Amino acid sequence: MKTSKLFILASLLLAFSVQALACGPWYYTAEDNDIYRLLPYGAEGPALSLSPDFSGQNVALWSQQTKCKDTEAIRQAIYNGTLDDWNRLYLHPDNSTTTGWFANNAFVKQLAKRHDNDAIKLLYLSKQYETLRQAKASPWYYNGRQKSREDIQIQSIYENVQHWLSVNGKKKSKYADRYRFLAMKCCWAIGNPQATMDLWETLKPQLHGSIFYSEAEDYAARCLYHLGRTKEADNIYLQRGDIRSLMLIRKVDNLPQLLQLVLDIAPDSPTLPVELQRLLFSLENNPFTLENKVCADGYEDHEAVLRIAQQAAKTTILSRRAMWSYTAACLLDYNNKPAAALQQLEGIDKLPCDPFLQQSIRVLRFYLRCKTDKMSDAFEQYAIGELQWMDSELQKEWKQLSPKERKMYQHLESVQTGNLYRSCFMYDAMRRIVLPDSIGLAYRLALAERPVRALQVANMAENRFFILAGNTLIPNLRKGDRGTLYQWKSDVNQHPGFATAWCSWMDDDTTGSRGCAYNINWNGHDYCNWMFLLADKMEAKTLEAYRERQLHPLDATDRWFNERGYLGSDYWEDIIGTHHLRECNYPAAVEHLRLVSPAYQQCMNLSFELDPFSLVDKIPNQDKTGYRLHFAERMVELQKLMKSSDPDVSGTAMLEYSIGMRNSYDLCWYLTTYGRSSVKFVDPLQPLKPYEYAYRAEEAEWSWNPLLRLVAVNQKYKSRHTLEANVLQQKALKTIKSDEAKAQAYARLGKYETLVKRYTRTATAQHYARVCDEWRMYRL
Amino acid sequence: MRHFSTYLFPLLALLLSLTGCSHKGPVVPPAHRGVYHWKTTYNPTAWELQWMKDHHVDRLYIKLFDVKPGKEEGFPEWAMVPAASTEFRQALPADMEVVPVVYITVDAIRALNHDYGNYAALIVKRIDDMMADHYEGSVREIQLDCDWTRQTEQAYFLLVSEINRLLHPRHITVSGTLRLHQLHKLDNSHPTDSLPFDRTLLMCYNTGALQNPTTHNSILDPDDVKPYLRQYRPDALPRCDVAFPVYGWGVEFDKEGRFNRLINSQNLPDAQQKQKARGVTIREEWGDMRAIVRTQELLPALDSNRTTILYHLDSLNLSKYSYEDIETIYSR
Repeated sequence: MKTSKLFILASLLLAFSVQALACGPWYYTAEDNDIYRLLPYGAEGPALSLSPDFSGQNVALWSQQTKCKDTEAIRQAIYNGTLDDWNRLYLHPDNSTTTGWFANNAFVKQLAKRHDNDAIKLLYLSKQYETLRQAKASPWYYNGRQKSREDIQIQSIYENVQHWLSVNGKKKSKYADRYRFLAMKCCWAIGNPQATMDLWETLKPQLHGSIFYSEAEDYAARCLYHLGRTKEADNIYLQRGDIRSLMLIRKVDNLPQLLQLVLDIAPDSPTLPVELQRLLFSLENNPFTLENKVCADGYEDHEAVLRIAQQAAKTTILSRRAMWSYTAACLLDYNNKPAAALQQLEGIDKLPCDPFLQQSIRVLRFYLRCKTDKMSDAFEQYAIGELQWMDSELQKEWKQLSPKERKMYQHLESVQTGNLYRSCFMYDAMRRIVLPDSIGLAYRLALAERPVRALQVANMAENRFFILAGNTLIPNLRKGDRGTLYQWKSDVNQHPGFATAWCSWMDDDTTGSRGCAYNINWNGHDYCNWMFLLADKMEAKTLEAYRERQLHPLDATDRWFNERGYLGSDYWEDIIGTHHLRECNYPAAVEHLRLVSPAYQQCMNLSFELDPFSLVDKIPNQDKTGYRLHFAERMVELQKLMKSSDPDVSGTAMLEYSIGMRNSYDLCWYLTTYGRSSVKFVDPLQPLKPYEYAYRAEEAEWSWNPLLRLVAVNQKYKSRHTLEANVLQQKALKTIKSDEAKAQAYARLGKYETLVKRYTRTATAQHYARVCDEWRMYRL
Repeated sequence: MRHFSTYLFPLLALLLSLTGCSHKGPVVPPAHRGVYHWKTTYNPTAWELQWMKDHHVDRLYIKLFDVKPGKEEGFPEWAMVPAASTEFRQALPADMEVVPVVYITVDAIRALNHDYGNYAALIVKRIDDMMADHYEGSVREIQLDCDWTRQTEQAYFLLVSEINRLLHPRHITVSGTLRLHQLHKLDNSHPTDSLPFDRTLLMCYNTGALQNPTTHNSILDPDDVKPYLRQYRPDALPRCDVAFPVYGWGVEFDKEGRFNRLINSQNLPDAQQKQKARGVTIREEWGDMRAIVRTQELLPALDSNRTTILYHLDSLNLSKYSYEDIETIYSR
């Protein structure tokens, strides 16, 4: 039956993965981060053991049986020792032929020294059995008509074990239970359920009380099912609280009904939290799983689960009331009742629960309070305290990641494609609490006129993990890595959401002295994150205030946030300067843009295509560095010229100023916005194709990437200053006095007909009369 | 005189090379006659078994399984996994040499991340297990089929080298299929020398662009074959077997000339009847006898120990060819 279960789960996972592949690429948002976690990531995966701590118990028993106190050595030897290692020891029990760490392992040395041949034989046979079992579970295994080599070898192990039991079984050997359990496993593996059952009936009384009883009982239930004794199998599964197996053999998918049944009979069943977690996952991720209904079959009936959870949370005789209460709180929040959810968590801290759940409860409470509490100094202090705690927990999680995972995270080039999701719970939770638009802590702080704090928390939530990981997305950590391909990273949770991690810091990547990676291909981070979006909505003076706090922190809290945020000088000075351009405060823009490295504009995902002071002729831009700065400087210069007593100079400057101002919102929109920085391939000079239209930031109604929807030119500045530019243009034409200067002004505006008719005798008009040989040029 | 000698030698060389190129194909009959079995169920009809006897077929090339990327088949932790394994409803004929064939997809090769030794061992073990289960004779050759490209060539050849390393000590020959476009890429005078196989099998079918409505016959058209073969010397393909098509199908196009679907030969008459009503056109294609013979003539001389293989063992298709037609192909 295990095989059938695995098959079904594998099929379901395949269905997931197919969907994930077919619909990609997904752009994940902060709201997609998970927050309902009863169990650590991966714990609800398919490889669920009903005795989750079996390996720990097994090691402890070996320690007791062999008198070896070094449990880590035992764990290493029995779980990491290879078949070859154990074969060598079995053939030469004096440990004369083993090699490497295995030869020096304390447990191995003790077995050899004490001539514990029964243990050595058992461990060798067990390792051999495990190797063969894995081979049989492999997709490469061929299950033909005849007995496979694996079956023949398992049969041989079985006979060997039986022989040992016939000789030593009655002597009450300390290893007898282990041999018996191995015999059962072999018998099942060679496809003999009746013989396995017979063995179980004989061994049941002897295994009673042993750590192997539960596992052996599971084999017995499978045999009963295969023998058609479904009721007996059902009874065992019910007593064990094995919901998945019950679903399978009863052919029902009513989760609430089975949850209630198991809760009544086996309230401590390890499958209960797993099923609840699967349900919570499904609810929280329903955009991906709605059609599949795979993660939890009771998805549609979560109200019934809520009732069960609330009732169980009140039942004082239950040992896992915290788990039920937490589940109820999550379900209430899912039903959009955060206040009720918060109430559900009252008193939960007094209930016994494991450290992970304790952590989850605290996170959920913080999340709910961010939704429900009024913003105040006291709440802000509470929030900072909670963020500090989450940060310390995140650091612990980071240390627990494998070197391979850490290396991958060091090289991720964007968070938005989901590579980081479901890797570190604290990171996910922090993003979910802080970043979502409108409801996130950062946005609520901004609305409550605490914009600097809002930017600090958003910066931390967005960039903290990258700083912790030493990721090169954060400029000061960049060391010019070259392209490296990482293979598909399967989601640790075995749920959809896996994605490729493709590091493409290619050869054209050079490291700047002060800022961004000058990757001219694509900067996947700086302008594609939620903190940037928040900043982009703020006024220049607010951003200046934040920059001031970056450079001169007011207190320890500021310093703490600064250490956890992205403070790149090029990045922030450019943003502030650009906001000043947007607000037409050109002298202030110059002040900030002067601090930006000249080459920085290469990594903004923008093409500064046009000369900002050209209008009709659309002169290509030749300014490869400092485009925005040079624009601002020229506008400052023009402001001065506009005050000239010479009307021609003043009027001409006014005209150029008005063209620059209008262009900065229109043809040269990249002067005042990063609007299209979050998309890769839009050429602003080309008409957009229908499928690209959604990428046009100003008008995007892009459903799956709110980043694009939110990045937009601030319309109020655009309307106001375009109008101002038009007025100024009229004023300029009135101010200019000489015909020649007027002729040049009309030429600049492309009004050739007026130019030639009104100022015929000017050199400019004569020039155009000579070069314009097509009527269309006069029509303009 | 000086001018004369300047032009004489290149002229002679040109004449010699032209003579060398105008070969007339293999004239020595092949040593072995083979046929492919390429269905997912091995359950040959009495007619098919008799057909093999009548034509003295002494080698049956049976496709055992495909190798695909693990991710594609629901095993993301495996780079490649077996798929579409042949189900055996009869034992393989013990009185005939059976050559197991494994089809490896290019995507599987792409997924293979340097783990050549491990996957070579898994492929060999699965072939061993399947053959041990269904064939009483001993396996003397295995064949690998892969539509490798320039990008996947190196990885595929490294995998083949590992398979060689496992099978050569057991005196098992490793042969590999060679498509005409692959042959074309091996641009030297003895192209197969650079391949890691003991023998190669030149596939003389699926030579045209199937989905192009202007294609005359995508199964085999000597005019499509010619450009690939004319550059080779007569002895260019040593240790090379050759396969020809004895099957047919219909290729359906819509009103705009876009490819719709393939129709198997069994359903072809019915589909042809309805094509006007449905507003589609169907191009009927067969491994045409004249085309096969002409292609045989285009081939460089092949060694006398070669096998001529027909694709594939299917009574519905084979019955369209006369006894003499089949003998003509096998005898050249």
